[in-house]
Amino acid sequence: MTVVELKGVSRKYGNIVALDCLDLVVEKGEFLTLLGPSGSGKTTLLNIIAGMTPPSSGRVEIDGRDVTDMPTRQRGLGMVFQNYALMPHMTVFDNIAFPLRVRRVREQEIRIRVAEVLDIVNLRDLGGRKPRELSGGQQQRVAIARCLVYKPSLILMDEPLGALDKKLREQLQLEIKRLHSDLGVTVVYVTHDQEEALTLSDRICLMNTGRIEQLGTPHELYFAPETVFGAQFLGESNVLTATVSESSSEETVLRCSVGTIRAPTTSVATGAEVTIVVRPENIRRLAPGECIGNELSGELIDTTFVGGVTRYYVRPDNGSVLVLKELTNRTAWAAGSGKVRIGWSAEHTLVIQNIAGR
Amino acid sequence: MSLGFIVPLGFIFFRSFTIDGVFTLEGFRSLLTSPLFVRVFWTTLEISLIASIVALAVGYPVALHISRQSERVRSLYLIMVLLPFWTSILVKSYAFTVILGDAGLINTALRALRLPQFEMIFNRFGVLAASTNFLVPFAVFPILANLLAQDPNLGKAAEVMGAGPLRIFWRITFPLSGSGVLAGFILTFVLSLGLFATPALLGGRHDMMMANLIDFYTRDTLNWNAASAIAVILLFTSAVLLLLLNRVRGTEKFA
Amino acid sequence: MNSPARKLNLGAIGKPVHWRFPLTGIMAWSAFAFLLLPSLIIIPISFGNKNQIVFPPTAFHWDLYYLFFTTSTWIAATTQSAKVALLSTAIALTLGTLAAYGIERSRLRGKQLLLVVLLSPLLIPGVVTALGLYSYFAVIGLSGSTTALVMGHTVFLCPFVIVTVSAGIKELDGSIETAASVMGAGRFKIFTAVVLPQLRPSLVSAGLFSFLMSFDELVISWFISGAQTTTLPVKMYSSVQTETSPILAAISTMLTILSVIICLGAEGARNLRKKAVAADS
Repeated sequence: MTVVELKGVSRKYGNIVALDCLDLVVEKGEFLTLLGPSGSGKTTLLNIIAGMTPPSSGRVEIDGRDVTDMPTRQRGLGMVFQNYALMPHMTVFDNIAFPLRVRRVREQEIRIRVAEVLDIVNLRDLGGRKPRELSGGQQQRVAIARCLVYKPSLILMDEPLGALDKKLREQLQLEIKRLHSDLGVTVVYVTHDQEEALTLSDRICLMNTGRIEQLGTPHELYFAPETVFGAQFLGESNVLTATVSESSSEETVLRCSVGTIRAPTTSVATGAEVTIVVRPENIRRLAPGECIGNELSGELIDTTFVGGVTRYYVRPDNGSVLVLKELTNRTAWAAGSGKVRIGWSAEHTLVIQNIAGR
Repeated sequence: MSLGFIVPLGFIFFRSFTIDGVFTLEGFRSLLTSPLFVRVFWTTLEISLIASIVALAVGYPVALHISRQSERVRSLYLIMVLLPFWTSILVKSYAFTVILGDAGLINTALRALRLPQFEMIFNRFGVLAASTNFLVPFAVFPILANLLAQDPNLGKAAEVMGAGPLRIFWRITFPLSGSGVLAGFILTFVLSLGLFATPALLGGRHDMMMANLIDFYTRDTLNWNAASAIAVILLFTSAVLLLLLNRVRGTEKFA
Repeated sequence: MNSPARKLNLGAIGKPVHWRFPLTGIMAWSAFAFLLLPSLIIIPISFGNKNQIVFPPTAFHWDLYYLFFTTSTWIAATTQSAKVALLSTAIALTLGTLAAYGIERSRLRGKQLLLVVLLSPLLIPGVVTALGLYSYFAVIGLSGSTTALVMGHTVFLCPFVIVTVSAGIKELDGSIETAASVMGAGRFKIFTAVVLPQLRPSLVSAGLFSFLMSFDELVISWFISGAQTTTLPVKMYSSVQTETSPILAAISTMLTILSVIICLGAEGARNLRKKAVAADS
């Protein structure tokens, strides 16, 4: 069942296009993340769903009803803000009771429901506290409880963990994931943090300059990026430009500045200009004489040791620097080793078609 | 440089406790038993209290309206508060005598319409009208500062949860503006305690305020001891209230 | 979807209930009318009949202005006010700026207390300051002199200058001064070559409003001016009850126009600064 459907939604601020004719469907029970750099339009999109920003064109449907012209307060949504947006003058209990009082729920029932959600977010005994007496993590749990208590069909979260430190953020990510799977709520989540998106989401909507760059599961986005932007935004990438020189049902052969590169079979026509992406963790150091599909020799120009991982920066004989990443082990190359050989198997070459305008 | 202020204040204290150089509490004793002083004291408190409350009631919607504008429009509206703020109180008081007087605009209009006329000058009404007019900008500024400091996400959050504008105002905006209102009240109250020209121009004999009484003792009866004692009482009252204001400002941060 | 969802037993929880409330704008505009109209109504009256107030005016005369400019006592009072305002503004601006800089850039322990003392004349009733100055000047034999008026007004203006200039100093980037001092500039050089030029907008606004405050000041002048040193507000105050002619309407109009000019001037100075900041970035 569809909870949200956006049809050709655009938003312009003067001459600036914040959202460019965008279609999106969110299914019931789904955790969808809007991921992108700042200015990519993800917050604008969230505000359009919430009704706080009207779209310049296009329609918004929630639960099958057209809500484009409906004010925010009638849309029956829940929202969690980055700065929590808890009422500082109300106790935790009153904050959570607020949406129920708006709905004229009887006080007796309010007490039962608030107690239940406080239980769910593990804040059982803190109902009498004021928000400022709680830690940041606790405040955000109150904000989440305030959304859960009236069971909106959709919960919007606008970088809810952005104000927390790394450790707490990871802990709350797990908690949000648990709440989502336990309660079966539908969540649209905005973040610029790729790890957070990968951890939490059923699907990720990767956005850039007001458009959807790619929409898919975390796996699809990571292993099969459709655009160079996608490949670079999620995870690290080595990017090379190449020309398809041979395309068969078994493999594709490409030619680029560092030599001939083999890749899995693609639909790209021979002679086409393409971009190839190789993840640093897929490139390996090769022993003399070892062949794995694609091999290059080059000069080791730098080595950085980052705890469990070591990075090597290699300049191929004829091209720009490639990065490879390996779990640290004792056989590491020392800087200044001079000529080295590196390589990756053909299946790890990602071929991305160049699309006009991107 | 602060001596320029402290020395004169020292003189007031000295004079309030001495007559002809001899220490005495006679000044304060005779004041507290003087029906004139007691009456003026209560009149001052009464006028200050009413004028401050009315000024807050008038100023609150102004602050609220201004706080909801975009930054550009806001500065235009602010000019409409700042202009009267910077207009001489003498000019404003004079304007009220012209508007409210027996031959003034309102009564002339009422006469032309064959409606009953009112005495609006040389009485409490005139003083209150002009004082309130003077105080409104002082009420607007602290309330506006408070409203602008409120987290705009609170209103958005409440709206998403289904709250309408009236509920958002009464349950969130207004309770959170409490410290701004209190600061505005103390400020306007202290300012009205010291009103001088307004009661003199618009009030009757029974609307004399403390500043006018000081003037009366200094100028007409040359009783500097009594005048200084009143000034000390006025100073003390204001100082206590201003310390209170300081504490209000200190607690404002939690909002 | 397991137990907690069922345990919560959350069904649809009804519709939000609310009303519309469009009154704020109406109330705000009524308040603006209340604030602005009194001063505005005086303007047409100032061009009206010169013997009594007639509203709406039946004719257009410059008579009241003519009367003002040909009456030597009014002109003398106006000149006196301008003189006092100019002198006290100049002194207060100098002293206040030095004090503000000293306070803002020092790490004195008594800083807070000093600030309270310096700023208190801003809020304690003017009549208290006035009476204090009156008794003080009487003792040192300056009563009624222009010197006394200038000194009194300076005391009254200084706190305002300090507040305004301090706000300007707070916006400055202190590291520029540190940089100047690293490059070898002395304290005096830093103050005149680095601090003051950056403070120009604050100084302009403090100066303009100080002039206006002094020019309009009544209570202190009422207590300490003498027959020969009467200022314009003092003369206005004493003539409100006695004057039969609405000449005060003309004077009020001119004072209001002065306020408008000074407000606009200060606003202009503020915008200039904004533009300068925008051009920098």
